[in-house]
Amino acid sequence: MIDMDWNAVRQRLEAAGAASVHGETRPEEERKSILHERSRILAKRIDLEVAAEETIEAMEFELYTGVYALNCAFVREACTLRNLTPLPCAPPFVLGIANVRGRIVPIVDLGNLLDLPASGLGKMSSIIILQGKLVEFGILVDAILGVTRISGNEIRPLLSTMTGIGRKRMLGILPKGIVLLDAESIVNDKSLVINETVAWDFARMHDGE
Amino acid sequence: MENNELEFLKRLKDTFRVEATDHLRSISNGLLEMEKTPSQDRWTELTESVFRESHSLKGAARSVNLKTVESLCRAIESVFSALKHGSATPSAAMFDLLHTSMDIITGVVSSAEMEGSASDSEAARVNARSLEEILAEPSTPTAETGTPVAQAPSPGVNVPTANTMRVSVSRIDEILVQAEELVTIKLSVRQRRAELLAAQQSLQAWKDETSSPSGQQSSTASPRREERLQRDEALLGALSEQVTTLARNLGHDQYSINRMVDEHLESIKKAVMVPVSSLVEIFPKLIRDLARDQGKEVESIVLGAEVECDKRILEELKDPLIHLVRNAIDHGIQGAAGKITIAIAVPDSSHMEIRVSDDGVGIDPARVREAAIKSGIITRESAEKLDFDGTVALAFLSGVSTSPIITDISGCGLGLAIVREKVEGLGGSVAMNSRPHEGTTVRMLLPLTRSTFRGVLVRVTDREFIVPTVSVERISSVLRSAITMAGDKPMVRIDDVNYPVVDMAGVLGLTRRIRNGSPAGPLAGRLPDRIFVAILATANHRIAFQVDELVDELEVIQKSLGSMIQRMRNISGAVILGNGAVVPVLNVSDLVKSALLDAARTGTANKASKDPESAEPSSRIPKILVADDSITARSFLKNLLETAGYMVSTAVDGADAYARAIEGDFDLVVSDVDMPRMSGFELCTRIRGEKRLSALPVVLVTALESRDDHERGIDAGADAYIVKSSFEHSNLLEVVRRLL
Repeated sequence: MIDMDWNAVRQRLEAAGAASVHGETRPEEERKSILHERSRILAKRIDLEVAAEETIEAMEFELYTGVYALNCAFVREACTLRNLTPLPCAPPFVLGIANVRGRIVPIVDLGNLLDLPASGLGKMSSIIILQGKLVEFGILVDAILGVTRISGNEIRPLLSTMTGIGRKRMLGILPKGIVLLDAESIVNDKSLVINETVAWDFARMHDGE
Repeated sequence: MENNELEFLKRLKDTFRVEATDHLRSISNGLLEMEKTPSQDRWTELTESVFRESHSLKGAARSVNLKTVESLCRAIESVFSALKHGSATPSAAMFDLLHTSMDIITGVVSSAEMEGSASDSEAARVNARSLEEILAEPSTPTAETGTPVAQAPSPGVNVPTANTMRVSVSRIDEILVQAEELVTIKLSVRQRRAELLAAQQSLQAWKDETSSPSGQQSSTASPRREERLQRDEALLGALSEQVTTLARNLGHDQYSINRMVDEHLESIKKAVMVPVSSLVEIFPKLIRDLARDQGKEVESIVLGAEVECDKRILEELKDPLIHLVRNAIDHGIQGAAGKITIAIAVPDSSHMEIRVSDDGVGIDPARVREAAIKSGIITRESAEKLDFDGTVALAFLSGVSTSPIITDISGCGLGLAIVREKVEGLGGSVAMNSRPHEGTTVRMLLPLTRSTFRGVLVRVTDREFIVPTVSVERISSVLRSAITMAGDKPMVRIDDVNYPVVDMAGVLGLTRRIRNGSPAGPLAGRLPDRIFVAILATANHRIAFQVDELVDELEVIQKSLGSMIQRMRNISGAVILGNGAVVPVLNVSDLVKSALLDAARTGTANKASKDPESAEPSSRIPKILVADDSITARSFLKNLLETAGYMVSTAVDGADAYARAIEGDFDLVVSDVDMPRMSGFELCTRIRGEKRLSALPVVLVTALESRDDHERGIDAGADAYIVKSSFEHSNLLEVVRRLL
């Protein structure tokens, strides 16, 4: 037979019960601040990891036959393309406009900006919305592959065969032949801003008749 | 840490800017009222209030370490302290100095960094010293100003204690946009109900079929099968009943959702109404300054500024009002003094009327008629048939100006046309009343709130577009054979009126075949017998646009195309339909212009439906010569004009420009006035002297602002004269467009 110290058990139970009751009646603010503190500590651990490696986060995607990447700092969001309304009278680099959760976002043909030959029919299933200082627009891509961390020493110079207007919008080549795009220059390119009126002179027109 | 401090300083400055703007407004208004020599009591009151406002502004400026503003405020404060105690005499010079001081402070406060440039602080120092000097002058109290000044009635600050609160504009805008979004829910529910009703009909049709006699003939079927059929029939009946109930309930829901959304939107709109004073309070000073520049004294009266109106409408009204006021000062008031009245009234619960009137010379109908005939808008025969008011109304058409020379203030013949376009864009109307020597009154009738608009959903080729219902005069379905030719142009006759017919697809650059060559839907092979024409109207034109289908009419909320597309031709925005589809909204004014341009370019409207790009090269690109000795100004003008689609060459001075003009084949010259070797005036005179170039339009762009130079410009034969300091890019482009 085991000798039970029932009194001790009873006391321990009471203490535990009191503690749990106390825990439940802990003031809302106090509980919140504890949770907040915990989440802060958890969040910090990830921050430190990034800082130690000194990398940037890049979003990788497929377009036509190639794989490209751009700095996530300029990505506002990425989503699947549900609708695309073509816009007549717009310049060729504008594919149309899309409804992104109630907002109208212009969709730009990245292939046109990079001077890529449109080869084959891609899925064109996703859009990446880029946010610059002045403008915001989406680029249509075949598929989003994911987000990876890249460090500066991984970036190699562009090939000499990458010429023309597209070259200005590229930064370098990552392992596996992924082309890192210059997202900053793309989103802040003033030539993409459209501001156009119908040139018109009434008097001249009627002179011609 | 440092970042936080900078952030804090920025927030502090933002707060200061809001506060300072309030003070500046009160001081400016106080000054203007004091200049009108009000009653003694009012004078005392105003002196006290301006004194207090400048004192508060001084304190606020010190807290953000703005020495320029602080020192200037100290000077203003001491002027008012002296006025309060009767130890100084108000004079025109004093008020001029005070107004300049306000301009300097406003400049510093509104600059982005709020640092205050070296020139600002220099100007502030000079101004402060002049104010001190004026105070130091021996005071010679006169009967009007030397009267004993009573103690201010209540030294306590007169703060309105109504139940109001300050909310930042951006937050209010957000709420307003969210409330308007709710209209989309109305559209979705409507769509869902339509889908449900369709489902109910399909079920009904199925039920009718299964219970038809042919179904009952299958008596040969096995009992088990018979049993199953009966069970299915019962289930189908129950299901059909359920769907019917669902559709009915959704109908009730739709009704209450519509009511709630409408009421909510209405109250939010009421909440964001602001008094018109927030717009018109800048005008007394603007009128004073513009008039002073022309050596005129113009008194301004603002009536009914307490009327409340949708803030977004007021924002749109600023430009038209400035145009009207400029017109009044430039053309209306010809003598040295005059009066401009801006009166706001509310004729009914949903509209307001703004009248801008002057007591000037009025509009000369003969000159308007001549100008309209000259610009080709109207033939002499029809112009002579018009009555007085009809003739005056011509002034609202683009390109009609009675001014002998174009200035940056007015005379481009666009002022009134712009007013009309803006006001009509807001759903309002504008009319003008003028009698020779009795002044001119322009009346604008405007809605008090900007509402959602109704739009017609049309299909063009395989695409859908929204046309604002307000611009649609009518939509008719006509037989294809009803489209006849008048000479080489297609037309349609509806209710005894002939309308030109233009294919909407052509104007939008859409082809009836998809680009890769595959046929586009039902239109590819056989053309339908009936077609739809939408008669779209602008102020001056009515055109029947051919569309493929009239789909629906809806209440919609127009959204902008995003920050990347600030403005594009023919499309003004987009709407999101109940099913989530995005549909572009057509800009009717642009469409009409595009249609007329296409017709002019290609000769026949039929050809307009070809790819518009192919028509482009046939019209020659105008060549412009820009002469300016400053490389900055030169490249700026070159860039501006090239962006607008012109071919531009440059010259470094007048002599260079003259040589190039002789050799080259230019359509227009834009020239600076002050240049080495040969000035702009001389260049202009030389060009006029050259036989081949005598008709070449010359636009002088100059830093000189005096009236003498302006007249020298006319003498030299310039076609337009634009002052650099105040010109807007669009202004120059409009002038150039008009002269070419």
